[in-house]
Amino acid sequence: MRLVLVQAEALLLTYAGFALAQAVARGQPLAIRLGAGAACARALLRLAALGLLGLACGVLARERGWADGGLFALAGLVLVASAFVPLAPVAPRMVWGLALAATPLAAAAGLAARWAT
Amino acid sequence: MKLSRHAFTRFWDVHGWAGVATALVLHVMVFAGAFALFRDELSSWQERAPRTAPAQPAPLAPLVDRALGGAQPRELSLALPGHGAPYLEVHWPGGGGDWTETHVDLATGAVAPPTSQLAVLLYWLHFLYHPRASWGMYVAGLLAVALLLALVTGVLIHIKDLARQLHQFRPGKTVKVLWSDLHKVLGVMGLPFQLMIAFTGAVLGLAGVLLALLSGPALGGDQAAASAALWGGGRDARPSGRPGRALDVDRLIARAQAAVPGFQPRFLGLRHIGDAAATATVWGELPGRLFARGEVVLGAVDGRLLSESLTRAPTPGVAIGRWVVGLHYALYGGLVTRVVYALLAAATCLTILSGNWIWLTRREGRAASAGNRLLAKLTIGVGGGVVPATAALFWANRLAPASARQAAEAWTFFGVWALVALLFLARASSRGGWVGLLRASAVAFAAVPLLSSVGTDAHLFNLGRHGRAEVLGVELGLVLLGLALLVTAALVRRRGQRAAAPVARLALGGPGPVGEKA
Repeated sequence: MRLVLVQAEALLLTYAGFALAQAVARGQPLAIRLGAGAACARALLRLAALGLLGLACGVLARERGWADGGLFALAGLVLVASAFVPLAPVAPRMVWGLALAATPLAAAAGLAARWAT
Repeated sequence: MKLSRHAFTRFWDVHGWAGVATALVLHVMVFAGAFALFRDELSSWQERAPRTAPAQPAPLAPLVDRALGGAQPRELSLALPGHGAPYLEVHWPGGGGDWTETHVDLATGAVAPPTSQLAVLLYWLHFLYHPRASWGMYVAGLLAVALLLALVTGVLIHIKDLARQLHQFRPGKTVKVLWSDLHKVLGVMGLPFQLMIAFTGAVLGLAGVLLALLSGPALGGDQAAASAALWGGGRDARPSGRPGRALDVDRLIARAQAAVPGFQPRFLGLRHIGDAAATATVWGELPGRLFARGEVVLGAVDGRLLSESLTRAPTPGVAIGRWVVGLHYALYGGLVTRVVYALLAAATCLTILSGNWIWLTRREGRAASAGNRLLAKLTIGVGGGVVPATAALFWANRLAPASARQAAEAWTFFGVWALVALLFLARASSRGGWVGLLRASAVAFAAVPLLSSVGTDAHLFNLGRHGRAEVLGVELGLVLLGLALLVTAALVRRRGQRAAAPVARLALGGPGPVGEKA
C-alpha cells in the first residue's frame, strides 16, 4: 500500500510539473499573470516545473532506489504527457483543474504514505 | 535540422508502408500485451473454484507425487504457489511431445487439470506464439523490427517540427487534422515507451534466431554454449548415464534459498531425473534489487550449487537479457507500473490505428480502390474486432462448463473475432461501425463481474468473504475498461457526426463507407 501511495504521489507531482511546463509554453492566463511579475518569472516557472519532475523522481528513488525510481518516473512522465496534450483541448476544465489540485493531492498522498505500512 | 526533399520522401514512404503493412497485427499484439501484463492475476481469476492457501506452508513433495500419479517422467516443471495462485502447478512431458499440466490444491491435496486458458491465450497472442507453431514468435520479432523502423523514420520526417508536436492538438479542426495531430502527439509523447517495447520485443522475439546464427561464428556451432551465454548456465547439462536419486523438491528449494539469501523461488525445473547428473533449476527473484530475476542451478542428486545468476550476471548476455525482459514486462515498481504500461499500450494502439486512418484520408481521391477499401474494412473488422473478441473470451470463461471451458474459450475468442471481421468486410458501416463496436465491447466488459456473481463463489460483490485481491483487481479493471470504451465511443460518435469525408465517416463509424452506398 505504501508503494502505491508513493507512486501516486510521484505521478501527481509529474502531472503538476508537466502541466506547469505546458502552461508556460501555451501561455495559459495564470502563467502569463505570474510571468508578468518579473523579467525572470517565466524562467523561474520553467525551473519550478523541472523541480516538480525532479521531486517526483526523488520521492520514488528514496523508496525504491534511483534505477527503479527513475524508470517509473520516466514511464509516468510519458503517460502524463500522452494523456495531457490530447485531453487539454477536449476537457480543459478537468485537465487544468487537476493540474491546480495535483500538488496538494501529492502532498496528501505523501503524508498518507508515511502512515501506511 | 531539415531533411533534403529526396530523403524526406524516402523516409515518408518507408514510414507509411512499414506502418500500414504491419499495423493491424502490431495493434493486436500491443492490445494483448496490455492483458499479458496481468497474467498472474488473470491466471488466478480464471480458475473459478475458490482455492485458499493453508495457514502453514505444506511440503510440496507429497503433492508432486500425487500429481504424477505413478508417472516417472525424465523432466518435471513446477510453478510454485504464491503470486495469486494458491495451488501447485505441475508439468511433465507425456507421449507425443505434449506436456501434461495439472494443478494441486494446497489445502485439500485435490488434483485437477486446469480448466481455463484465458490468461495464456492472451499472453501467447502478445507474441503470436503457440506450442505447435513456435515460429510465430520470430514473426512477432520481425514485426517489432518493422515497428522500430516506423518509429525511427517517423522521428526523421517530423524532426524539423518535433517541438511543435509536443503541444499541437486541434480537435476543433477537420477529422483529417485531428487524426494527424493525434498520431503525432501520441507518437512523439509515447516515443520512449514505443521505442522500448519495439527494441526489447525485437530482441525477445528474435533471440532464438540470433542464438542459432551467432553460435556458428562465435562459438564454433556449440548451441549449448551459446544458450548458456545468453540465458545462463545449466540448461543444457548432459546426462551421465549413471543412475542417481534426486532430492525431493522441498529440499532442493531450501538449498536454493540457502545458496542465495532472500531468494524467492517461483519455478523449479528438473532435468534428467533418475540420472546422477540430474539438475534442478530454481527460477525466481531477489526482492529489493532491480530486475534481479534469475536462476539457481543445483545438482539434483547432491544439492550442490552449480551456478546462480541472481547476485551476479555470469555473462553480458544474461545481464542484457535481464534488462530486456524486465523493461518489456514491467518487472519493476509493482502493480502501478503495470497499470501505467497498460495505459501506454492503449495509447500505442491508438497511435497505430490512427496511422492507418491517416493513410486512408491522404488517399481520399483513390479511396474507392479495392486496396484502400479493404484496408478500411480490415482496420475496423480486425483491429476493432479484437476488442469484443476479448470481452467474449471473458464471458466464455464464466459461462462454459469446466469440462469444455478451454475449447469454448478459444472458439469463442477466435469465432467472435472472425465474425466481426466478416461483418465489417461485408458492410463496413454495420451496427454503427466503431461506435457500435466500442459500445458493445464496453457493455460486455463491464458485465463480467455480474456474470461472475452468478456462476462463481469468488466475485467482486462478496470480496469480504473470499478476500482475493486478484478478483477485485481483474473485475474492477474490466469495469473501468468498459467505462473507458463507453467514453471513447461517445467521443467518436461526436466526431463522426461532424466528419464530412467518406473515409473519415467510415473510420469513425458514421454512414457512407468507401465505395459503398450509405
